[in-house]
Order: sequence, then C-alpha cells, then structure tokens
Amino acid sequence: MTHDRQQDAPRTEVGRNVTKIDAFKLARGEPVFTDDIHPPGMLWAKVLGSPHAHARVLEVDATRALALPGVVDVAWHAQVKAIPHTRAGQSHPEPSPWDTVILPPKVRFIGDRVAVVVAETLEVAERALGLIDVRYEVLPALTDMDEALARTDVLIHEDPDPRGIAEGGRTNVAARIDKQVGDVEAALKSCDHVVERTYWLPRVQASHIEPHVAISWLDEDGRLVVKTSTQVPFHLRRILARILELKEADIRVIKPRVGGGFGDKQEMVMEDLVALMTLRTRRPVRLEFTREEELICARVRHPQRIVMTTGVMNDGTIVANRMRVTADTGAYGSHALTVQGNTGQKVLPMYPCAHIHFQVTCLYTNNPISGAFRGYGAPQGCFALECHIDEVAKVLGHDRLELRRKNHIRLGDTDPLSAKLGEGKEGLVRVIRSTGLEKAIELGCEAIGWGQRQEPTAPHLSRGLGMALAMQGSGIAGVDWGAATVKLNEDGSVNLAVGATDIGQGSDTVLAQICAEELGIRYEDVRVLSSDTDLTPFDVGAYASSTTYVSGGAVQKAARAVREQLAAIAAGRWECTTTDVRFGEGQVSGPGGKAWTMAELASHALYQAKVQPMATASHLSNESPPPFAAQFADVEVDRETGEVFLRRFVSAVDCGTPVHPDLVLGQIEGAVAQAIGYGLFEEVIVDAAGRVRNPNFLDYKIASALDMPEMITILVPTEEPSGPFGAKAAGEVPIDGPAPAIVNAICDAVGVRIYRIPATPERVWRQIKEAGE
Amino acid sequence: MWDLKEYRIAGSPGEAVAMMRRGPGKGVYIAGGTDLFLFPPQCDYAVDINHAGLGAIARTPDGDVFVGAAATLHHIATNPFVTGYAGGLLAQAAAHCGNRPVRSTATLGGNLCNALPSADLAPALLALDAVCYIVDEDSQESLPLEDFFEGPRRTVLGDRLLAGIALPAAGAGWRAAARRLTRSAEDIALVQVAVALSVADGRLGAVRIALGSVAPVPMRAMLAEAQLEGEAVADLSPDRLADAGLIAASECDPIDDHRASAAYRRQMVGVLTRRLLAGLLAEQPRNDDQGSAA
Repeated sequence: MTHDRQQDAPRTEVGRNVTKIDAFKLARGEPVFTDDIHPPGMLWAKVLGSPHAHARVLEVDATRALALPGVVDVAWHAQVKAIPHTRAGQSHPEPSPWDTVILPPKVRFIGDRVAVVVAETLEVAERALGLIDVRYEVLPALTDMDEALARTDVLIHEDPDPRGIAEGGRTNVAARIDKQVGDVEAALKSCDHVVERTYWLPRVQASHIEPHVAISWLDEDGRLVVKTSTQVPFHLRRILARILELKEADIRVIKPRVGGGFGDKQEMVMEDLVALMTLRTRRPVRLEFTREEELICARVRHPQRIVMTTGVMNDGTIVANRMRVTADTGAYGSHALTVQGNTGQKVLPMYPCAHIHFQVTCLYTNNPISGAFRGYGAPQGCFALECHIDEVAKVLGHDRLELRRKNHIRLGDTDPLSAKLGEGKEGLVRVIRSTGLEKAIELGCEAIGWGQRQEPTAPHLSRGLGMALAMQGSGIAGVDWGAATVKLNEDGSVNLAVGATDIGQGSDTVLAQICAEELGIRYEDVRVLSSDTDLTPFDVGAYASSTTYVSGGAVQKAARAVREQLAAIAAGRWECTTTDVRFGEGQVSGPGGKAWTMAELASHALYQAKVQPMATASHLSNESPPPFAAQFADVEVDRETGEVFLRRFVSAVDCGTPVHPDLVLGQIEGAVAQAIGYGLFEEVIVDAAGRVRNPNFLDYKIASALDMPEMITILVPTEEPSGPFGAKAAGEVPIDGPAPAIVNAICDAVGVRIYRIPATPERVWRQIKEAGE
Repeated sequence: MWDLKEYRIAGSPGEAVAMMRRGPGKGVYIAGGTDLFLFPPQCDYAVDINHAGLGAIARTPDGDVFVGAAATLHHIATNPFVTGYAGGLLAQAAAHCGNRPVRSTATLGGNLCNALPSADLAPALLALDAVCYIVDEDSQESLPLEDFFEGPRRTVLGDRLLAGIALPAAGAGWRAAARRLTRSAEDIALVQVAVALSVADGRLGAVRIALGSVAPVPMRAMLAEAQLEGEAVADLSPDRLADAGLIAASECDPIDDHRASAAYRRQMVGVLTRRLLAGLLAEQPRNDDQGSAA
C-alpha cells in the first residue's frame, strides 16, 4: 500500500526560501574546503607539463631533481602501468573514448603530463620541475581542426583500435554523429527560402573560484582516501580502482564543500596523480592547480564551427533544419561524442519540424583538452540556432518574435530528435508534459519592453533589443540515477545521506527541503551528509542538470518509505489502518483525535517498537523533461569603437516547481553572468603552435560586477508530472540564451551580424566597417 | 612565489635610496605592490616606501597640486585638490583603474614607475603637464613627465626614487577629459586618450593630447596639438577636429597583440581624440577659463 502525500495539502517546505544549509559555516570561514586541512607529513605535488604540442617522451632523467633536498619522488610514464581509460567522469559504460593513461608516453598538447614530482614543500617541488631532464622526439602539431581532419599522415591517437575512438588509428576524428529525421535535402528543394549561415564558437574556461585541488592519503587500514573538489565522487572511485588496480572498497572518496565546478570538475583532472604518488610514497600528497594551469591544463568548452541550413515557407513555417558541427576536442576525447551530441539534441527540438538533419565531426587536435562545461554543447548550438532564427526572419521579412512563436515546441509535442539521439546512442522518446515557454516569452517581452524603441543615451550609440529561446534537460534519460538514505532520530529529526554532490549550487539545501516536505517535518530538522563513498549511497554526481530532478526523486522515495514505516508503527499502536495515519507540520494524526508529534512517534519507534525507521531508495528517470528559458538583451553599441554596453538583461525561466526560489534566481543570474563573458569577452587564445596566449585573468576576461547589466529575472513555475513536487532543472538552461540574445541585440542596434563570438569591440567595429564599405 | 631575502622599510625618501644602494644583490622599491605581486621580479630585497612620508596630496604655496608617489589611487580619486583640478581629470583616471580593492592599495608611484605603455594615470598626467620629482640620497631634481619614460618598463630613475608629481597651478582651470577603451570593464586599456585645453577670448590656448597603450611609452600627440593651439574656437569645424584626430592617430605607434590589432588601436586614437576635443569645446565657458587657477 502506498501513502502518497496528499496532493492538495499545501506545501510548507518546498517553495520556501530557507537558509542555505551551509551558509553559516561558509560565511564564518570554517575550514570546509579540500585545501583547508592538511594531513601531517603531507607532500606537495607539481606536474611537469610538456613544452611541445606533440612529442614522444623518450627518456626522463630525474637524477638532478631527486638530488635536490626535499624532493621525495618523481614519476614518469616508464614507471607507471598504462591502463587505458577516460578521465571524463561519466557513468559506466563511458561514451568517451579510452584514449588516456595516467602518464602518457606521447604528449599531445602544451601542458600535457610528462612527469609528476612530490616534495616536502611547494617551493622545492616547483624548483624540482626545472631539474627534470627530458628527451623528446618532437612530432608535427595539428592545431587547426580542418587540418586535423585533412591529414592522416599525422595521427594524434595512432594506437591500433583504441577503445571508443570513432576512427581509431586511421584518422584524427574522435567522434562522428549523423542522424536524420525525414529527408532534409529533398525538403529544402520544396521550400520558399533556404537560409544558410556559419557560426563560430570560442574555447572558454569555466573559471570556478576554487581551482582543482585534491589531497590523498592512506588511512590506518592502508586504504586510499582521496579528498577532492569533485562533482563525481563515485565515478572517480570506479575509475581510480580500475587504473590503480585496487578494490573499490579500498578507496574512499570524500567531497567536502566545493567552490564551483561548472562541469570542469566532472573530469578526473588530477585525482589519479595524487593517488599514484600516495601509493608510491605511502605519504599524503596534495596537488592544486594555479590559475595558469587551470587555463591550460583543465578543460575548456569545445570550440565549434556550426553551419545552419533552414528551409522555410513564405508564411514562416519551418520545414527543414540542418545543423552541421565541426568541433575541436583537443588532445583527448573527453565528452567528445556527448557534448557534440547535445549541441543538436538539446537545441534543435526547440523548433520541431518534419525534416531535421544533425551532423557532427569532432576532431582531435594538439590543443588544450575540451570537456564538460555547464550547458554541455547546448550554448554552442543555441547560439547558432537563435542567431539563425533572426537571420531567417530577416530573409522572410517577418517579425523575429512571431517567427519563434509560430514554430516553437509546445505542450504535448514529441521531441523529434529524442528517439534518434540519447547519450551517444538511441535515446528514449521525449514528450513535453510541462512547459512555461509561452508564458516566459510573454513575461519576458513585457519586462524588456519588446517592440518599444529604447532611446540611445548618446549620439554615437545605437540601441537594440535581442532575444533567444532555450531548452535543456533534467538529467540524462535512462542513464542518470542516484540514491538517498533517510534515517529518523528519536527526537524526530532526520539524517539524510546522499551521493549527490553539492558544489555550491545548493543541492544539499534543496534535497533537505524535499525530504522534509515528503516526511511532513521542518527543513530545519534535516541534516545532510554529502558525499563520501564510504558513508553515502551512490549517485552519478552533479552534472547534466540532474540533482534536483533525479537525486531529488531518490530523496522523495526514501522519505516516503520512512513515512510508510512510521505509518505502520502508528497504526499498530492506534489499532487503525495505515491509510488513516496523516502526516504534516511535524504532527502525526490518526482517527478519533489521536495525535503525536514526530518526536513522540520517533521515540516510540526507537524505545517501544524498537525499530530504526530508515530507508534507502534509488531513482532513475527514463524522462528528461526540458526546462525552458526566454531571454532578452537591451544593448547600446558604439558605432565608431564597436564597444557593446549591455544595459538590461531579462531571463524568464520555467524550471517546473522552484524548490528554493532564491537559489533558482541565483542559478539563473550566475549563468547569465557567465554567459555574458561567453558572448562578449572570453576566449582562450591558442596560437598556431598550440600555446595558450592568455592563461591569466589579466587577459582572459571574465565578466565582473562592473560588467553586469540591470538584471531582471522571472520565474515561470510549472508542474512537471515526473519531477519531485513538480520540479525540473535550472542549472544549465539559463546559460544558453544570453550570447545569442546579446548578439541579436547588437544586430538590431547596428544592422550587422556577428558570426563569431566573443563580440569584442574590435570584431564589432570590423563588421560595422565592412558593412559600410 | 616571491623569493625575497630581506624587506627593508624606509623612513624617508633619502633613506629609501640609501637602502636601495646598500645591496647586496638586486632590490626593488615597493609601495602598494599590486603589480609586483602579479609578476614578482627576480630580486633579493624590497625597499618599502609606505612610511617614507610620500603618501600625501597637498597644494603647494605656488598653487601646484603635489601628489606623493605613495598616495593610493583611491586617495587620488577622492582628494578635493585633485578632483578640483582641471575638471578632475586625474581623479577620474584614478577612479577607473582596476577595482576598489586594487585602488585602495595601488599607488601613483607604482603606476608610473612600472612604466607600462598602458599605465592608467600616465595620459591624464601628460595632458596636465605633470612634473616628476625624483630624489637621490641627498638631492632632488624635477623633470617633465614626458621625459620620465624611456621604453616599456624603463624609466630615467635608475636606483633613484620617484617622490611624486606636481600638477602646475597654471593648468588648474583647463578643460580636460579622457577616455579609455577596454574589452571588459576591468581590463588593461586597449587605447587611452586624454585631452586638456585652455580657452581664452574664444581662442584655444594650450592644447594637450596624450595617448596610452598605443606606443612603447605613454606619449603626447604634439603635431595634433600644434594644429589646434591658438585657433579660434568658432573656426574649429567637426572636420577640423576629425583632422586633428587623424594626425594624432598618425603620431602613435601601436602594436598588434592578442588584445587588439594595431590598425584598430590607431583608428580609435582618431575617434576618441575627435570626440574628446568636440566635447571639451562644447562645454560652457567657465569663470576660470582664463588658463589660471588664480
């Protein structure tokens, strides 16, 4: 018998802006992050990065380094067993190619791992790097993705048949996708207009405040403990066990508080190195990236070139859509297939039509490694599609808002690509069961003043408005799952243990709210433990906009199971049926006015009934309902200098039920801030030799407080039937639309199209100048 | 990591120079340290000048405004002598450097002595005819700021110390404005232009056009200035101002780098110079438009 929470009961915990669960300890500066506490006897690690973009490491001579007082150990490829794997941090079986080993005998980008040194101090470790003598056989470097595609005489991964590489050992293609619904080529012939444009997306870095940092040691039983700033503790444990040849039970991964991840910490960027050195030296080892190392050796958003071809009728009906993506995965294929898959899968369904063709060619190059970054391919695709819709409207002479309204996906529609394309293979059919998109468009238009000309603030400025629509997912359908354990204490409070990883986004808070709501107690009576592979149940981790929706589902199930146990205990005592037992506001009530506080019931359970009310539940979703966003930019452009001044930015977002509205607003505004950088400022510049030219915040420009526009953020709640208390995701969808909305606004202001972001002053100036000539 | 063996704190400018000369090895002066900690130089010791009495901003008996080398940018941005001098040009330049935490620490001396082509205060100071005061162990000399910079990261100082700069009384009533072009709000300037001029009886008196980030050193566009000095304001059509901008553009010597192209920088010198001139000439005449603060 199930005891569904009464659907009509008012929610007291979900939807409430409770105090963030870790707010006080963070504000007080408690030592809660990975690097805050160092175990005694800890060694400091540094990585010797390759000075060559492509070279064989023939010989590493560490004699001079080891002679330096304080240096304890140096490891290089000849000393470490080479077990192919991927560092992508995905569910098993991983869709990313196993093209990596801990220390590669061939380095594939400037900064690739040549050797790792550990020493008694950081200074000694840094000095030791200069004393390691390396003999390289330098190979030709491929840093241009078209050249990488054309050349087969230079192979970046040439091992015969490496697992999972699309054309392993024959070409430099890391992944290919070619999926079609209908027949685009034929359909285009019958369209009134065919519009084709090409868009270029830059390499950008997540720039989380806390860099990658990991500390490992052996516990008193000789087990390996890795404390790390990660999004994926359980994937990490699995990968480490395999490549270090240990039992999973002999590895403990602890995720403390994390200072931002944005996908960049979905990858095993360094944990294998500290673990390796701990196993070699039997001592604690700590490694942290500098900002320069972050910008060279961590992960970047895949640079892409996207060709959009759209067939449209005179009345504005979109008949056919083709997206052809060429992408640069850099030296290794982390997320090569799945990020690029998302570029189409998460984006093209916005305008369903009978003919859709999606093609990807993703190339290995000798550039820095691309990987997961908030949005996961969708920001690239959304930029191309939403700029392209404006271009189509211009060709048609239609209003760009009405063109979107006429064609966008609606309630009950089937996502046309979903069956063809899941996580790198056939997917599950997706039907839209909740959408606030129309309402979001309406409210967003109202907030920005769509259709009303804003006056420029100076004569040399032109003002314009732009918009973009976006959709994402809520977890990966049929793949992502998580588990939660709920345990009741004798005073009615609850311990909630989750494998889900709070990385600053506030998932511990949101999961506690879901637990409290389902159990009929207050949020303040829930304590959360996340995440520790010894103590918490499994969860895939914080990525793919999954935590509230997927892990929240597990929490809801576990809390419900505990409530059923309590109902049985109360029914036994009150001699009634369990359906007569009601929960809510800390009270448990039965027939005839019988009532207990939760504390009384809990005390009864533990001391009279002598049972521990407790449950662990797992949750997998075969659906991934899309959250929706309508985003609007108001810009002024200096026609003579090309400067873009973003005056106002409006986001209207449907994330289902906002479990914690303020945290959702924080997600949206943070995503917008990050995406303003994508649209206007950010680009990791790599020269033809493969060297990063701007590995610092002086020249890699992220947006700061001074760059922020007036930000208007609107929540458009819906009730998603498959989500916990109607919730969908919020973490990624708002990062998709700002760049195209800003660029569309620039176009509206000065009449020129920016096809390549970031829209730096000089790029905008050149476009204006070319248009004038 | 900054590997310093010794940190010396000077009690006076003369003592600072003596400490610098004492050796052994190589030393560096430090005030706010915001640039030094970004790119720590190879040196053995630092000489701290924060306690050498160089932090003040004052009006001298002659009516000059003296800004000590250790005055912070925030102090400069908010000091009434500076905000009241030539339309507050220098104060505005200081207010646009970095962000508030940086401005509370960074100093005038650091900004000038690092001698970056993009030094944020340099164009404003050049446009205001600033004079540098340089101290030795027991002597002092002054020279125009134009003669201070020798090249990127090179000045005339040697191991002497910049004590501060003076803004001459004569320029206090000049009209002045500046503009810096950046990619994001907190950024190294791609192009900087500062213009100062005096108007008397409908004619231009002094005209100063100073440029930053477009040559090895911050510089004056003297040919453009000469085109305008002495001209009747009524004769200065938009075309004439545009020409002056083009001349200034032809005088600079920008480079291509990953921040911007030389061509863009040069064009922007023309655009910004023209706009600044037009803006200043459109200002309503003021009582102090006689070219003197008196």
